[in-house]
Amino acid sequence: MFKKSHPLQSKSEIILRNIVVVAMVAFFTIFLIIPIGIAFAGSFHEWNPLSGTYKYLGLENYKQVFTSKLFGKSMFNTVIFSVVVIVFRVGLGLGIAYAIYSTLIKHKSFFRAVYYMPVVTPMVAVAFVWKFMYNPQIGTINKIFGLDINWLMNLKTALIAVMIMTIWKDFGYAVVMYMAGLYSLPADVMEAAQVDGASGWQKFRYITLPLLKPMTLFVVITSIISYIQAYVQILIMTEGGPGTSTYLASYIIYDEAFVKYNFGYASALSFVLFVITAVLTVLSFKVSGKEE
Amino acid sequence: MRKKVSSIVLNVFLLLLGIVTVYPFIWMLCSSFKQNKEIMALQQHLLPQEFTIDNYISMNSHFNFMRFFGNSLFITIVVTLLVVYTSTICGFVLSKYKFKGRNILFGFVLATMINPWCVTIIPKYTMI
Repeated sequence: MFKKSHPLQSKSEIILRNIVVVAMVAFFTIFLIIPIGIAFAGSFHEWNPLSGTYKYLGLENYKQVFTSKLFGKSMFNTVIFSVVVIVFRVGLGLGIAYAIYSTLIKHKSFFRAVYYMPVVTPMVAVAFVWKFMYNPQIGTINKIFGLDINWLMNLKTALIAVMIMTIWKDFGYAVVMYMAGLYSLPADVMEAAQVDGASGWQKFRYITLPLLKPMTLFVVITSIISYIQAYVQILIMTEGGPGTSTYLASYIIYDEAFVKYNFGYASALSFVLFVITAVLTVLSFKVSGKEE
Repeated sequence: MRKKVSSIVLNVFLLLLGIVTVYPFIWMLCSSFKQNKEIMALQQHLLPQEFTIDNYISMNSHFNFMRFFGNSLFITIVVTLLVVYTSTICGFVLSKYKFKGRNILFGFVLATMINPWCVTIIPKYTMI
């Protein structure tokens, strides 16, 4: 990771370095290590801050997590949600970025700005507007497509509706990322391919795509992390319903902690989620090879 | 010729997708000029039938919106300045100097990004 380092040169540099290191250690202790420690300890207790309970339970919370049907269902939903949204995000992002990048499009910055608009809008506002648009009586979506579906109240369509909304909101980020990646590609490789007579598809498949691999990795990993933590859209649009069809892993933690005040159980849930996130992140680094 | 056709096709496609992307914003803008009963009406029109700017005038009447917005602005500015300042220094120290535990420290930086909000939110909630 770190290629070369300069040796310390002067006394003031040593002082600066020491101050910064101490500050960072203090910061991580207060905001990372201690909270994680408290959460870890709390996950073995029955913990309700309102009634002041803090009773040792041992592994009871974890047993409950792994036998809970709701948690299983929410993990299943999270996997489907993340996979579908990430595939569309990466696919749309790459495709559109390549289209804008090509010489066929003139108004590049216009399109880039348009697609980036949802990304910079707060999720809360976006979710409310989409909730309106999904409304079966007055919603725009049914009107435009001539459908009669109660999107957010139907067991089959609720999760799809939330996924469509999330894809709409997030693909612009991938577009901008891929465009940055495309513009930083080395020009000489492209010229060499041109000279060798590679077709447009070959150039894309064998040169552009491999060179964009670090960018794809970055988009996928940040997406995994953010979708495992996605809960705002669920909170506003469906509140997990109908039934349990849109429960996501993070929403269940929010629900347990700040609606039902089962802090102990919620801590156990979040630890399971933390381990899953860490494993997934490490895995995607490993799968992608030596990058980073 | 073939290039021209594909250029048009691509432009139209991107434009259509752009309309899909922007449509909710247009809807939001138009609705802000509508009265409540028109937003809830069964007969929907995109453009407001009775144009009204009451919503903007009464923005501050339900709750102190400007105050809330000011709070958000304040947090944004202060946090951004602090983040830029501290991360520049930390980045400089981490990349320039070699010392024991540097990789561990960098690992912690990564850990704060990977760590789901929900793990630390409960302790932080009780700490504050």
